Amino acid sequence: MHITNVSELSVRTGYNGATIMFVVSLAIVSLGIYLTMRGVLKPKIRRLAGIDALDEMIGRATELGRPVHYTVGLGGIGNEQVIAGLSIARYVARKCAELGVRFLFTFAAPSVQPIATDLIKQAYVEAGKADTFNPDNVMWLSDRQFAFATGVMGLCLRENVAANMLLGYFAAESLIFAEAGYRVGAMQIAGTTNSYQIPFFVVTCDYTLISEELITAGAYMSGEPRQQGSILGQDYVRLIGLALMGVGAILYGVGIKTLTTWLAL
Amino acid sequence: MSLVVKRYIPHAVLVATAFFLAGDTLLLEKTYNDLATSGVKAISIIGSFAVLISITMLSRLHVRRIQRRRTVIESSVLLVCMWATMIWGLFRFAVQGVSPLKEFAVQQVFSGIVSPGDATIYSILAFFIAAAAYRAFRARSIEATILLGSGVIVMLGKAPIGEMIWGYFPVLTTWLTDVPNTAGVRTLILSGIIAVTALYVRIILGYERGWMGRGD
Repeated sequence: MHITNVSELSVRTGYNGATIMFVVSLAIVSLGIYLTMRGVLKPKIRRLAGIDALDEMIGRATELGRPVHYTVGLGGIGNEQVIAGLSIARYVARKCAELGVRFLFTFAAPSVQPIATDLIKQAYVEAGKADTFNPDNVMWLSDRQFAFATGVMGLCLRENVAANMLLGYFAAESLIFAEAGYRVGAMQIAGTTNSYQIPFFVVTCDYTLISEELITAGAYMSGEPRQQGSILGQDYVRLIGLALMGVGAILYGVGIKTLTTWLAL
Repeated sequence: MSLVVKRYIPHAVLVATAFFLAGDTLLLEKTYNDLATSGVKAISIIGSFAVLISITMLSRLHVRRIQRRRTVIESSVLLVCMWATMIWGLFRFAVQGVSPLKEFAVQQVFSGIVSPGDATIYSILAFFIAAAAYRAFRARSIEATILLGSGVIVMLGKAPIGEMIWGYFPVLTTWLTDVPNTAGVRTLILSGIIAVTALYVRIILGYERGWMGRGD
């Protein structure tokens, strides 16, 4: 049988630079992980004040006898910020279970429900408090942005939360969440990569994880060399990016546009 | 459930899908690209089933709240009424062929409750922004003072009175938003993208299992 009309496989027009950078980035991050696991490289990661304060926030909630609220925002399970938020949620849920603090988890996308329920239940099992896990505390409020915002605001005020953790994907509702937490006197931590919402979090929350700090928080908290090696790898990718930008700017300045054209999508 | 079903099969599916869809973004081949488009649609359809789980959980929570009557139940009653409206709309669509978009009761819920509610909450943001700005605009440190100064310049630059006070306020505002602000935002975007690349590598290698639920 002859196969006909099979088009030739090629890189999309204008994607040559992106394809090479994609492969190079994957290779460098993987190399960073490999070398860290072998003990060749020993990454020193700066302290993230927000993550270090998580225990303090949960401890304060324990002393006050008030719940901890945690939300991953509007994103679905395919969103990288939600995945990062869930990694931190597991740690927070385990700590809350250990200390007997109510852990309220809210989200907007239904796809988060089964994953979050399973993850938080496992955190309670790890803490040896499986019997205290209440699936009703993992709450889907609405997939409409402002209905969800209203739900979270009402929950924070009704439950008088002691800690408000906003780690995930947020849009215009970010300030509503943070203000609700502020009004009940909750300690607040927020994190997102959405550059438009970061200023709101900075002015209203006690701690803010800015952009990549949220994404790397899971690896930072794990303390595993293999995960921390990926942070080292991403720093090397960043250095390459900076070098390319610098060289590109200089070349562009002297009239050579080859590099910028090659890298542009 | 065995470890193979719980961990290895989902992980293998993830790795295969990840590389398949990354290839679709970068490579050009009609059959491959068509297959990837169909795959994305299939993922959306599978994902929509999660809505059923969420609706079940939410309904259970509110019905139980009504049964116990321990807390304020008005919102729970309203939610159950809305479910009834939605079910009525679906029934009319299935049996009588009336589109939910033309169903009077469903339309009333949206135009009479949901849309005004959205608009109300959105408008509350203005007051929240004012409250947050009040707290932010305190010159406690050098950084806060720079923020305060920049904020005042941008406000004056955007308001007609700014130009009346000093003609260069709009020019300065444009420079602040186009140069230092854009540089800062691009730094955040770039660092975020690189961190996401590293996150995906961790997921592909199976080190990051938050997406898998319990996973371990």
